[in-house]
Amino acid sequence: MIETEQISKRYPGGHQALKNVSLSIQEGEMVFLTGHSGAGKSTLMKLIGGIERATSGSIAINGTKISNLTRSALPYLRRNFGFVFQDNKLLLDRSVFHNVALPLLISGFSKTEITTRVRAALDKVGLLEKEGLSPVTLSGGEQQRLCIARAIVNKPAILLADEPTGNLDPGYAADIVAMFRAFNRVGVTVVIATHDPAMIQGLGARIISLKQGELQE
Amino acid sequence: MNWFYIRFSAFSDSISRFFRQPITSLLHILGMGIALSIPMGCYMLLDGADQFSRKLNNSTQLNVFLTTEASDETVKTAQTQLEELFDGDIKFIDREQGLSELSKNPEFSELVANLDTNPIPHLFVLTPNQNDPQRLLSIAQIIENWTFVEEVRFDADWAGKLESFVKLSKILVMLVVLLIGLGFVASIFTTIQLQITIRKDEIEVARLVGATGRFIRRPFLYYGFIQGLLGGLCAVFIIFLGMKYGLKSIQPMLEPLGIFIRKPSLLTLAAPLILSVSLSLLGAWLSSNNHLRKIDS
Repeated sequence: MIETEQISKRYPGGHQALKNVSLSIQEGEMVFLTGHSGAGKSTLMKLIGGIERATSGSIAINGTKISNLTRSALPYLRRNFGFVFQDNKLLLDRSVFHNVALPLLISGFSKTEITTRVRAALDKVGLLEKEGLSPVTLSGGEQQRLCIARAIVNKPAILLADEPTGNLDPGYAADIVAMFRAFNRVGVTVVIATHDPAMIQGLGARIISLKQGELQE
Repeated sequence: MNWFYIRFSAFSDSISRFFRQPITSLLHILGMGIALSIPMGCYMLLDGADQFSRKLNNSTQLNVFLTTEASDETVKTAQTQLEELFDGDIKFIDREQGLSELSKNPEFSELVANLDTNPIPHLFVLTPNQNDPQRLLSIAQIIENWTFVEEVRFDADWAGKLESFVKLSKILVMLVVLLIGLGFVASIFTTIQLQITIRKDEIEVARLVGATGRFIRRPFLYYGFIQGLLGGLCAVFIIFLGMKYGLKSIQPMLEPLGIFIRKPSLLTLAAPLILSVSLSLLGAWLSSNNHLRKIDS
């Protein structure tokens, strides 16, 4: 489902974030990307999600090479992904409901369908009663769950989570990991970047390690 | 239905953002309205002067002054030659009649009474049947060369100069409109940049979840449209007020000059509105496109 071939990323200024990374992630697989800070995890996630372009090499999603896509085609590729970020990237001037509704509005769903889907997603993450509140009033764990609701509301084929438990205490972190596991069980491909060894333990998922931008065997 | 819902959401969001800063928005609209109404008002004033100068040009006359020593025989010769040359009304004012008309003027009556001899020459006033300034000018040049003619005065001279002045002023007003238009685009560009900065996070998230450039650009275009529409309406309102109240005080001063400012037509009133909306949309499009290009690079 996700194929990267010899991808490298060099940022302006000369920083080499990734060096010749080749990997393959199958459909329905759950994978952890690990490594220390600066290992290149976030960069790899951004390249897979089509947020940034690789300097060299190629990435294919379901056989479609990202480098072959035009700028105007990239948004449609991104709709196949659900993104979860360490810093949530929630819109604080919108309610919980409207934060989750955004991807559906972008995809052109009707108002009725948006309401049904948003409520279903909020129910899954246990925030249905808080749909009218502002995200500011939520705890850190709830904000992260809201971010997950927004990521899954479009029923994406691939879920990309970058340090999703980075700011959470162990109790909340375990809840979030359990949620990812549940999504994976229903067929969603899940890729989680983390530097937290405790998160990976006991899940039996594949682990891909990065060190200074290179893949570790 | 979805098509309408997506656009309606963006439009209502843009309206709510516009009224979230009522004073800033109001001042901006007022600034736009004043900036647009000034050149439009000047243009209407000049249009009145233009009508006047055209009217003057249409009533062009040639005044042919004979030499003071011209005899009655010479007058007859002049009359015959003019009738052969000129197609139009020929009016003769003899020197006695000229002097008596001058003496009717209180300013000159005393002066005329003290004159020993009559210094006023015989005069022919020629009014053409068809207004052709070029033809009239060539006739004037022929008449000037006759020995018994002292001077030929072409009355349309200053009217022509006035027309040129009005034309030049109109071009200047157009240039002012052009400059104001550029200022308009720059102003909207900056306003939208500010809106983009305020909504930076929203744009970033929207891009991550698959928003197209069109989707991201849409609320900013709507914002520019609302601002342009209200600014244009403000300009129309200022012009309307100026015509209704300001004109009452100016018109009596202009009437003796023969200048009548016409009430603006629907098209004249629509012009600032169309201009304002188009320029605002252009500014918003340039600004949002500029930002999209930056974040996509």
